[in-house]
Amino acid sequence: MTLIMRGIFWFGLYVFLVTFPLLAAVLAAPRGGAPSLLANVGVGAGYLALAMMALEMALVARVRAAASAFGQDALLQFHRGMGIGAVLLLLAHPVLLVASGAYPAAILGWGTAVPWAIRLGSIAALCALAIVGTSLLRKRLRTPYEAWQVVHGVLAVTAVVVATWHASRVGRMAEVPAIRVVALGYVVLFVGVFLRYRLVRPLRLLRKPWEVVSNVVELGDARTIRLRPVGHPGFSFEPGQFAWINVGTTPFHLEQHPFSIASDGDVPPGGEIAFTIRNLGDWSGKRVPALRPGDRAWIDGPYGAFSIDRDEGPGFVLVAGGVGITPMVSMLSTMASRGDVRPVVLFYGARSEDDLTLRGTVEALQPKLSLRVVYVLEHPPEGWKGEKGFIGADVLRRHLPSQYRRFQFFTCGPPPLMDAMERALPSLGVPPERIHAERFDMV
Amino acid sequence: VNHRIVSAVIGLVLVLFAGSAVLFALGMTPHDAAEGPAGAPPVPHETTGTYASCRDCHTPGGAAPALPQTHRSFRDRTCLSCHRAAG
Repeated sequence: MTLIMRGIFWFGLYVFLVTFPLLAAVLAAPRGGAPSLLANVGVGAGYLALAMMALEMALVARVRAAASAFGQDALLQFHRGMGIGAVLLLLAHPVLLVASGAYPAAILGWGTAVPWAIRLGSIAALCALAIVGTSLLRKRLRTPYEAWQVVHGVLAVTAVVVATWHASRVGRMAEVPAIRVVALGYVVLFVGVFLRYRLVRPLRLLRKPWEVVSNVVELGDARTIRLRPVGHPGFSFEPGQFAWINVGTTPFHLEQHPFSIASDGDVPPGGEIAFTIRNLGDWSGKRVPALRPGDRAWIDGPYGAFSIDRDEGPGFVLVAGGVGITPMVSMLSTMASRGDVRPVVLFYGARSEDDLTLRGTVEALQPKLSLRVVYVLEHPPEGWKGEKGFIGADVLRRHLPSQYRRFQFFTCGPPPLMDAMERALPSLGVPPERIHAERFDMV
Repeated sequence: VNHRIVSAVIGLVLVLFAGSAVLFALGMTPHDAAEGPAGAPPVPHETTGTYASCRDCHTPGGAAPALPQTHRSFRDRTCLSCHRAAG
């Protein structure tokens, strides 16, 4: 199946699964009961919200076939958008039912007359609101990632289970056996995905441990960690892909983070892989520098669709900002080992010369490749003859080869760079299908 | 996949889902709904003791109006989730 067909299949399956409860209700439930169109829109909103919440986990459960079609960062963005959409539908559900006159306004409160089954719906809505609130405000509230992950998971399980309980106890459709089976099916799906993600996947990783080989300081407050597989062949990967690293005592540990693999993708069996990790917080600032040779690690990967192997072209333009250089270095290393001499232009933006992580590696690869590197510094040193400021359309225009529209473009970096490239590249006439982006600010 | 494309897809999917809720409502709403009551009518009597079980009286040929066909499989707690008890 081609990548596009795979994408259409997974997207179609998602839309079908979200709307299936409505279809089942139309086919199985008796007509009438709720008297107005508005009330039925409210009922429909509730079922959609329930299905969307039950499928949220599946979007981020690292289902390789789905992730390879869209890219994990796109799936995560979709997960966020659908989560907010589910909450909006969840809130619209009681509001529309009350506005239609089918239910009294008292059900929106917590009075003693409100039946417990309706209160379950309120609890689910509060959980869903808390999920969105804690996620959107996580960085502002400086919530540690691991604590947020636990809260996120507990609230999500509670919201889905309680919402399904509510849906199977309230309203005229709750007594229709087919509808109850459908509602139960979504809980089973949710629990199944949850168990696969939290139990089956770590169990598989348990059989494939990795060991730290070296931990080297790099420019830009970063470190390169080399790892080797222990008792298994490891894996090769498409250059540009990423993996989740867990350096806990077991793979069940919650502390795991996604990073682009910085080494050559054509790894022989038993070969090492490397990650270059910039100090961006508690884990990367404290746990990573403390890693010593021989320390245990668990690698879940490779994932992602951001790779020169996916999108063949007569040449490549790589645009990196900060530690976004890591997937680019993987691509360049792999091209060098393959003897691939297709032209590559690398635009590399950083605050200063001291922040040019892996600069030495890039320059060591240059003689083996048809590679041109354009450094763009925000704070250049005195006498700097290269580009200054930020990577934008003007900088690109000055250095792109004449045939650049036929090249494949890969961009990876902080959100401002990514946003700038999403404006600049189309303005330069680069076809959208040749622009590939990976945001490393995923979680 | 471009960040903007994903944002556009999210917007389109949410519109599609909202549209499907309206289509669902059109399919579920009887044509004469506009002439019917605005909501479920309140229960004009107590709902405890002798009256605790709706279906003791609201049956075909019973002492009170029979349940509509669409309500035949409902349990007492389902009745009371829409029909408010008097007082």
